[in-house]
Amino acid sequence: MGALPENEAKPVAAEIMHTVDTADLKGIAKVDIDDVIDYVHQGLERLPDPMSLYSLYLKQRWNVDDLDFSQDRRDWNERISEAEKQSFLAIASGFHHGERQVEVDLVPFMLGGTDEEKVFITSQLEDEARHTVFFDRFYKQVVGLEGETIMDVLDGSWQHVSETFSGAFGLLAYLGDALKRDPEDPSLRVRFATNYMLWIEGVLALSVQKITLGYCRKRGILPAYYTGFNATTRDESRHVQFGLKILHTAVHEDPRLVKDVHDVLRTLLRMNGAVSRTVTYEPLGWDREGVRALFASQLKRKVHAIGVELSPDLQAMVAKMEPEMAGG
Amino acid sequence: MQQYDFFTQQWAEQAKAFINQGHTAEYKATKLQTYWDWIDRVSANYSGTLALGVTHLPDGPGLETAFIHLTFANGQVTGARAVSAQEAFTAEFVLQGKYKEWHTLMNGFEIGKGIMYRKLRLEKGDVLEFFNRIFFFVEALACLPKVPTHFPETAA
Ligand SMILES: [Fe+2]
Ligand SMILES: [Fe+2]
Repeated sequence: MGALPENEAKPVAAEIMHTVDTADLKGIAKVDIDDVIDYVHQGLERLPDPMSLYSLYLKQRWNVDDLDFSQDRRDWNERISEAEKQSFLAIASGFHHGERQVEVDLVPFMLGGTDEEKVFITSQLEDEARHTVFFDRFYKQVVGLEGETIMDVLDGSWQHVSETFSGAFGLLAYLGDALKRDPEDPSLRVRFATNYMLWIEGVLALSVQKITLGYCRKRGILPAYYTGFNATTRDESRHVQFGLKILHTAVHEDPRLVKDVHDVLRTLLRMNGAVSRTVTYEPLGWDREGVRALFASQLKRKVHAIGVELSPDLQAMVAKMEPEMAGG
Repeated sequence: MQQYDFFTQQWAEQAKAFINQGHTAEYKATKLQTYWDWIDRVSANYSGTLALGVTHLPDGPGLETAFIHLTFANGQVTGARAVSAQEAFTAEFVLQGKYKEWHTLMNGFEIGKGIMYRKLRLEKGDVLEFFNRIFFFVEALACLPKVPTHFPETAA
């Protein structure tokens, strides 16, 4: 599995895109994760308005209660090696916590949006809550973690998450606090959206989805995880398009805001150099170079989509990115 | 062992000593060297001020506050003082939390996770500048539970 070509979406058959667009939960179980990622990137060329994305949400939302994890539990116990489990947990646990963090930290961004943006964000909040519940069930019913509350289960998977996870996600919490004090401030909104939608959802999430879902599909295992996480990826495509549209509009209305995009990326890339533990990707079929290239191409695509160029110092930082971000 | 009242001048001096002493080799071995190298690079160039604030101290109606003002020069603490709120807010960064959250952190709750969960909040300072040095601050604060502390709720 190599990296995607940079800054250009591979031509996709309209039929496949139609399938991704309209599939219900049973249908999405059969869709290739690479096609869902192409679907995300196709949307970046149009950047639909918030009400169109809201309509898409009404059509695409799925019911987490429809997932049955019993086959996943058998696969986990019988068909997955210890090394694969460790790699899988190192990556998936970042998602378990990431979904929870983006759920609780989205609210300040809603406060200063237009009415249409507020409507869309209510749908995104519901998505993120459902993603949090999805991971909670996966960890309880498949991995076997115990806990009465969502936080109990999160505490149980924290051991698999790198300490440096709290870099990008602590930044999100604090940028959210700054936004709460002045929800309409354009610079604070751009900073927040760059961290949340461009970096966490657009770079980290999509890369991790490609790695873990590609692994499940190739091995033919964890069907409920595959189904729910593939549907999650499609949800993320709306979130990323929504955020990038806001960034695109903001930097075109006021080009000085490009500096905020750059400053946030600079801080995120700087934190990325502090690797406190290594994530082993090989059991899932990836090597470090492949993951690094995947992150870099995802980042360049998203930055390109909002009409911003990376400054030379940022380009140099991207070239040296560590592939540990998936775990945090 | 002598205990120091939480967030007093004597406690601040102990905090300074423990931060400057740094972590044990045993603790450092739990994280990769690349992480400590990053912190060393950041701290070598860091001179500035950080104030820590605690609110809702248990004695009284629940709004009592206390502040510690730390001065860093090239990553070392060169000054540590118990100060007023007004003076605390002259620092470049003010990190503040309720007493019950501090108590959790002082009992070993992971500092980085505590920041992510907003147990402490950045009440003053540029968020990006703070996060450019985040793991340096996290590991400095992770030295604070080593101070033998007498907490107000256990006061005789
Ligand atoms: Fe999500
Ligand atoms: Fe999302």
